[in-house]
Amino acid sequence: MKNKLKYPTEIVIKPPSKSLNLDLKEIYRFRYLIGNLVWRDIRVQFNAMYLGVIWATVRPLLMVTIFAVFRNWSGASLHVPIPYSVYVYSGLILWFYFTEATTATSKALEKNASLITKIYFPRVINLIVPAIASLYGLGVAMFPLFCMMVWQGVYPGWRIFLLPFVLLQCMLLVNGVGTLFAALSLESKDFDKLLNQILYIGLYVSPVFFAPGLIPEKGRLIYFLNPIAGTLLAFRSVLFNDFPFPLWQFIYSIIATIVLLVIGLIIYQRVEAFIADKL
Amino acid sequence: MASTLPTHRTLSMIQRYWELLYVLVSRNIKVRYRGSLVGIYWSLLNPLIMTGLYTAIFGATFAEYFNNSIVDYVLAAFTGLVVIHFFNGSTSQALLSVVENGVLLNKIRLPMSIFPMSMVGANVFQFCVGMLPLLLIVTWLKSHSLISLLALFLPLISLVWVCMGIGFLLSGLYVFYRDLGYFYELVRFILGISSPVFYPAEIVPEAVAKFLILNPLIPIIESIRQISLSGNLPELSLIGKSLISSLIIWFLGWSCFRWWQEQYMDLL
Amino acid sequence: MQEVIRLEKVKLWRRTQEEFSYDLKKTVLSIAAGKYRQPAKKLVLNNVDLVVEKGEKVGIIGANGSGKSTILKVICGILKPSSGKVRVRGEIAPLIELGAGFDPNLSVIDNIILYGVMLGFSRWEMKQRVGLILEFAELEDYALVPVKGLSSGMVARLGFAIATDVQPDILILDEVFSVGDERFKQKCQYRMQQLWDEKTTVLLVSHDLDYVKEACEVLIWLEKGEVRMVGGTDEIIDLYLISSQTKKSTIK
Repeated sequence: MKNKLKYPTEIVIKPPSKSLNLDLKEIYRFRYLIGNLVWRDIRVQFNAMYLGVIWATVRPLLMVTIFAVFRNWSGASLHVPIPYSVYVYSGLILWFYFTEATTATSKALEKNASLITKIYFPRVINLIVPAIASLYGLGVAMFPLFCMMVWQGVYPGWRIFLLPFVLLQCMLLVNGVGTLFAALSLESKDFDKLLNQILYIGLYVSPVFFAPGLIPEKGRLIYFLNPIAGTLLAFRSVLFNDFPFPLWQFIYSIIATIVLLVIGLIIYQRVEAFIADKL
Repeated sequence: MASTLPTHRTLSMIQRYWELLYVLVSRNIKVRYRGSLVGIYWSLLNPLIMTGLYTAIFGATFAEYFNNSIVDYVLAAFTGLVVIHFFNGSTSQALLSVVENGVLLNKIRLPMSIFPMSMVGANVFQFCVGMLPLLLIVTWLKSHSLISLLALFLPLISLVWVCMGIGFLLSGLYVFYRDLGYFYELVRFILGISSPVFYPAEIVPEAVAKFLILNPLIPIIESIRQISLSGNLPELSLIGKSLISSLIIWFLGWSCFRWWQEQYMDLL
Repeated sequence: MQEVIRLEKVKLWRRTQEEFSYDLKKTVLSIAAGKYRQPAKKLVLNNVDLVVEKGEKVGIIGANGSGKSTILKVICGILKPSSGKVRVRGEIAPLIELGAGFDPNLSVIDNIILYGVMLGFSRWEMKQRVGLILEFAELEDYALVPVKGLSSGMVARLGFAIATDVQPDILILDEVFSVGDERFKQKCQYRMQQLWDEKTTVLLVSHDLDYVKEACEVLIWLEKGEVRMVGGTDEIIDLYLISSQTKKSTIK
């Protein structure tokens, strides 16, 4: 049988460098490991499959109902151009993906501590895996969304082909924020909790339950400093034809993602040298 | 050379329980907050932030039920959140406690019930250091009465009993059914939503209100709010309701735990 | 001679591992479908009768899975028998995997107190004994170091030091000497010597037959959860070796 994982005949172990140095070739060499770890994570979710399915769909559905009821009762206008339920649900499932994947990434190093301290492999792989594995939950939650779309008569247009790009940007954002906090958490547990808080507040501050129209003109600039705002709106836009595409916000999100990714990786590299002592 | 101190373990059951509880709770707290600057005050930060959020979103709409005072809304939301936060923390940690210590239980003889109790205990400690002072200050400012301050402890004790009872039930069930976590998250969510935290109790329609009797946190929240915020003397009926329901839950949870106890070791 | 441990017709049933349905969803569905079965059980200890007298040094040998560790757990009170009686007189120092109670994130001192309390002592007592324990384990410099920074040998020394710091009435050892370097083994032997002389009852499980020969007077031979034979060390060892040989020859 052909040996799938070809080890190089020589592995050089050097002290870590200070500048950004991502050895993509090496990561590529370990691609089967990435696949294995992702599959492992998905299987864990798969074993609790019915529950994973239930949880991935029931929670957002419940929240949609509650907020829809509240909106009707209070008569507030949230400036949403498409049916409210579809808008909120799509935002919620992307948001839950983001939260779950980012939290998992920030904890990935601790979780795999036993692997890291005993086997050699590019450690940065640990930080890539959760973003991919959590897509499973997002995928499962899309089915009720399709049903809702058909029922409400909301359909995608040509922009649906941009969906992979939006998801890719989201994943990279997960990687960026997750790596940053994973590295910081090694220093102090405070960052774990900080991330939690930020994500918690983010749910209410990001355009999940409402559309940007609700924010007064003056506040809008600050509001869009939130990198995931563009992503959330773009996600709706690629899925629903009637929803306008937030070009500038999305471009900003892409830039913010790259910046966060670079910062996260640099800090991670600084900390990586001592990783075995911290775990 | 071996020690020359008394060789016999002379501790009574209660002493042993207490020593174990102390040691496990302090282990818990130390591990949780080691290497953390802000430390224990995180547990205070979350409810404060959530209060702020709820006020920003719902404050205007519901203020009319609170004498049109946003401050009153804030305080009411805060007290509700304190209870929910404590409940969520203790019960979800207690859920995992027995299984997490499964390896230990296979090596040393220990009373199993100590584990869920220590989780609740750790949360009690956190509460006393973080939120209790705040709660006492608010109560004092609103009521200027020592009786109210003392009476405040009664619904708080009920809360601890409820958490212990549910903690026992969950930790035992979890040994048998490892997917309990997901179901419980759903239950917690429903309990949280059905408690009048960010909305006033009055707006709940009659039909739904009947089911609310199943939520043991509601009498506790109402009692705490009445004692700390209304400025009147503590209402005994509310206190009584919370104490009785919490005792029942504690008893149920404890009994279930004991009833299943023999079967745990095979699964740990 | 005073009886210290007595097992009378002890039987123990345990759930078998493969049947574990840790799944609430599956269980509810199978109950609804009327297909619920009681989980299968295996007889792990079968009619075990055992008497140990004060001061005796007893070894337990047998193949893997014969129930040696299980018997120790029953004696320690970790497992309860399904039927039969277990009587133990005196305090037990269980050395079943040294350092099982240690929390890797806590310091050595905190762990000493934690472990001691779990074994049944009070915090106050443990605080008094910390110095002696650290001395015996030669870990004075590591007093405030978290346990995860210690090597496995150090952890073993620490566990042993704590459990044997006080003269127990009954000492139970489950294969504890496989870890640790030469120094550790010597220290253990030294302390064991002290305990031996002090008329402590010792129950030893080990695969190291030479050690068992040296240390024990009486041997219990367990096979598949039953007491196959009890007797003097030499004769049991000979018989045990013979039976292992014959088993070997049937493996081709």
